[in-house]
Amino acid sequence: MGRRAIAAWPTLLLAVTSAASLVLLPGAVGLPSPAGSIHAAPYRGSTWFGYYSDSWGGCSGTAKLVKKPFWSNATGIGGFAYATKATACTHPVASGGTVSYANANEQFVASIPIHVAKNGAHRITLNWTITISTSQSLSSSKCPTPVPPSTNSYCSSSTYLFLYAYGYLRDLTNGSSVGSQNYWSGLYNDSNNQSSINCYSGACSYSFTYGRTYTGGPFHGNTSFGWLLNASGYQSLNASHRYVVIVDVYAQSYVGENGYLAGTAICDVNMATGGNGWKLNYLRIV
Amino acid sequence: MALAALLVASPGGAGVVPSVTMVAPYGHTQFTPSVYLAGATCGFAKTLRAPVWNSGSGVVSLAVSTKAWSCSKVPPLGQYSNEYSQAQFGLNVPLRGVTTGPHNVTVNWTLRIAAAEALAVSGTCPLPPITGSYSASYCSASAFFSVNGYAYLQDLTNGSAVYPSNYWSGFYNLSSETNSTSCYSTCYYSNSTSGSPAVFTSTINFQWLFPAVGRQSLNSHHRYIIALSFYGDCSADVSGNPTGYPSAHATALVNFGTLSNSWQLNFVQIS
Repeated sequence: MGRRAIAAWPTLLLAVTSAASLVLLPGAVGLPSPAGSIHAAPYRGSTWFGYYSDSWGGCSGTAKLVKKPFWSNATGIGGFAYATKATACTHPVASGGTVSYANANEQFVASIPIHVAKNGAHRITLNWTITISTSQSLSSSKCPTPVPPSTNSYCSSSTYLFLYAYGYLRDLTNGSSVGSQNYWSGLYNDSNNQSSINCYSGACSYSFTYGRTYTGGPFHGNTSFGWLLNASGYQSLNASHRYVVIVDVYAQSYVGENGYLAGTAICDVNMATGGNGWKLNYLRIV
Repeated sequence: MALAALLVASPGGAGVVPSVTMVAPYGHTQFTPSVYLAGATCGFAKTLRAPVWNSGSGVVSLAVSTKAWSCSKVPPLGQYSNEYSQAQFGLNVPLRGVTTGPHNVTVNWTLRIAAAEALAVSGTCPLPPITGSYSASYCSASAFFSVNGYAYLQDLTNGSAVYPSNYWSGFYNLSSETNSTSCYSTCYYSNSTSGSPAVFTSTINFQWLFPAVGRQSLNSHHRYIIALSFYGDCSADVSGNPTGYPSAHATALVNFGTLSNSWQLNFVQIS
């Protein structure tokens, strides 16, 4: 069973009776230990599901699922990896204009059963670490002047990444849920360029052109976080109910090149290989 | 290239409009491929061949497939193995040798295709767990494939369009099986099946007819294209709550990209 005794942990307070369950043993006074009990990988009995949705098109858009969403009971690590790329068109496409694009959406949802031995209020901590490597780049050359009789041309390019995760407790007996008190802000990076050229009486000028990046990136390395689930009051736990802790991790990306004479938009996410992944370090229940 | 594709025939009869026939290679065409894949853990959705256009031969090839099966371990939130693949293309073919006046424009193509879908369900849908006063379970398995296409003649100069006087109905086949139980004091059961699995191989020759007559007559000073769009998609789904069927398999395929299958533009004729 996946359990780990912390150094200062009174081991007599930890006990596990089945491969899939975490059991709280009351302390000497019949209450859970203030430190609670801890549960780490392997998370036997956990189940999971992965989803992916990828699309691409235009002149040269590509979305490649490098590693399908996964989750390992043995290690408590889940992840996925993908690569998206769009290159500016050298010729118009049938759908109109000069467009290349790619989208990627990847997700895994893991359910870890916990066993509650005693009725009452509990606090559950889900501690995790994300180790990730992302790569985003955006280049765009000149937006072409409009070809008469058109008097306006518009170009845009972008690379977008959003990765998010959340966790909650689900009562499988009555269908209720307890969400976390705190939220992880996720990873977000959106860079784009836009240009527009207007021509009047043969004279053309940019009506606007700009590029901007909304937040930092790329993301390399790791960061840890802990969700706090407060199951109290009317959401207090019931020892006769079945519970799971659910973690949901997903990412979405978009890259596109529209109109520019040259340029490339890239967004690659690796949360699966080379030591990267999302790891549930431990569950603690008090 | 341009006019390598152009053949002009002049009928002898007085008052008959000479016809212009364009064949491969098709120069200055515009092609747009696109692909959409969506899948889950217990299955896959993939392109066997992403859409590719060969302007020299007038051939487009694409192929997609999907497969879904019952997961051995189903999460408590249920099973959703919904696998979907779609590949499509758009193709703009400029018209050459247009003369002013009423015309019939013909777009002739051949589709060599193999498509299939199959469903195998064994075991029964588990009864819902008894929790509280109400409980329910459902199981679903389905598979389908479809292929379709359409086209129109567009006047790029003034934006107007001529639509074909005939249409191609395409192909579609779906088979599904669902089973559900809901209990509230008394349990109610329902079971339904529809369609049946199919294997489809065929060579289809078809032509769209565009009557560019009356106020839609062609103008030699305008620019025209034939805008074509085709897609093939397929789905395989095994879903259920809380667990779904204990053993179900669904698979589907659309292939006009490998093993001599393809879509080919034979000619575009203005008469």
